[in-house]
Amino acid sequence: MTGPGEPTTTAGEPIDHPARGGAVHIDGVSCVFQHRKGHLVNALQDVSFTVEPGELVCVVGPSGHGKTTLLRVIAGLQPPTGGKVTVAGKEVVGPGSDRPMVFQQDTVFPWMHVRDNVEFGLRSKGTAKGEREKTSNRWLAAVGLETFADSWPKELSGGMRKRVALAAVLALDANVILMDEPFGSLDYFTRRSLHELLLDLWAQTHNTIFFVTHDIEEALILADRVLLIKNGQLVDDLRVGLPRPRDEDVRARPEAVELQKTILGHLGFGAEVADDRRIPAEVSEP
Amino acid sequence: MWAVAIPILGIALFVGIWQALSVRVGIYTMPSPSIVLRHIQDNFFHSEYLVSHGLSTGSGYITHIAFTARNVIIGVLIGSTLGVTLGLLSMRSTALKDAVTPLAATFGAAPIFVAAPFFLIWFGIQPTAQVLMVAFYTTILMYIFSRRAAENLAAQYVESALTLGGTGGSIVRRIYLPGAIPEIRGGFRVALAGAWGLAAIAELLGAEQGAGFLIKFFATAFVIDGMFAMALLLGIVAVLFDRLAVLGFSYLTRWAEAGRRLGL
Repeated sequence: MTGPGEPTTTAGEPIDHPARGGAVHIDGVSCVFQHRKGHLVNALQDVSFTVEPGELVCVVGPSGHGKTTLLRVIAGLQPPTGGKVTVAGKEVVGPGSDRPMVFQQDTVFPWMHVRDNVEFGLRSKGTAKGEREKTSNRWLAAVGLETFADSWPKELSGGMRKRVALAAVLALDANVILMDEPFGSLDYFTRRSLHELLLDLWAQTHNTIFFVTHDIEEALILADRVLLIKNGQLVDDLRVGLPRPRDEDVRARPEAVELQKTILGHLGFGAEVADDRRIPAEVSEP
Repeated sequence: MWAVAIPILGIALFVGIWQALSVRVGIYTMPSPSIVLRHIQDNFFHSEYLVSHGLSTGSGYITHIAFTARNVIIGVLIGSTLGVTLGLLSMRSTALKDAVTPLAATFGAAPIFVAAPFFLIWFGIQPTAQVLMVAFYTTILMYIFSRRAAENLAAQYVESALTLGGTGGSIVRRIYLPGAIPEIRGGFRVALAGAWGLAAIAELLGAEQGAGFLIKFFATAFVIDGMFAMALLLGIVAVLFDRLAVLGFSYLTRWAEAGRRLGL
């Protein structure tokens, strides 16, 4: 019997979370940009939290409030102006295949066949051809694209290309996966099917996933934990205690509605609701 | 149907105007298309005229066209390789970019014909001067085109490659190069088209064979139909090589056409 909040696959089977890799520590991270008009913009202000191995964390907040910057700092694509990020005890100093990212934009390389896209990271790591093929076959089958291995990305739909991007990051067997509004440009039905796919694959791989979204419903479907970012600050860190799979009925439960209200309240839409589900973030409050 | 008919109509119109002009101006100043075609037919593989003037040991215009074509192809291949390599590597090396870009901008702005006499002085009238001139011009053009192509390539491809473990060399080879090829194609065709004129001009200035050399020789000897024949042959060969380049690039960019075929 699965208790509330314990992760399960979309079929309702419990997800076992064996710890893999180390924790991700975000320690007093700030990021200041110079606006083209000269003034300084605090994209992130002294953000601190820790994510345990195997957690699926959704970073939620309005557009332009620092979610993507936070993800880029973890990816090593954006150096912080203050603080540091450590993954499994190692400080992040640049991008690397231990933290692959699925982008909001379509980043599947259109000049490579689907299989070559999935094998890109493996080739960069120097994996032997036979092993690469075995791995790409596995992940292409996992995302339901085994018959499209030799297709060009432009021959696929937007949703199928997202599956390719997902297979490419999963093929690396990384402990941490970063996703920046990956399904934002897709229609509702495609998005929902990709949520199910992601949760099923996560149940098998136990990666730590950072998933940036501005869609609260998406966060409630996916997250173990929701980090709320507003004006570059971590305003709350909420544990999502809803049972999985989180279908429409689960999301209509009073506790889900309360959680939604809390999130909306924090983001400035409606009354803030005090709730003991909130866990204190490891933040030195400003 | 129109795709075939329009080029044929264009050629027919050109030949018609040429014929009309030759009637109007006179065939000694402007030989008619039929005279020029007959001249080519009589001299293409074997030319008594060239043999009698010591310009050939038995072959015809084809040898001179082949000489020019060889210089153009070698020069364009050297220049393209160098220009594209420098252009794409400069995307990953600020020092290289800072070193090469001002030079490319300076030499790119100066008319290449100004440089021609220097090349002839430094490298003599042997094919080296022609090849190097074409290579020099192509390098500058391809550097500018490939750099711009790489700059226009969406930044997220490079960032995605970096998070997947890509490093400097593999990103240039597997991201910038294939991603930039659709834009490089335009630059290559411009460089190739310009290279024919450049090689011919270099031959006009000083060479012992080649299409440009023969045009200059015919001009001195007032063999107007020979001048027209060489110019026409040079044009036809240039178009054929351009078609070959288009075919080659169509293969390299077949991924870009894939979606269009399906209407995606």
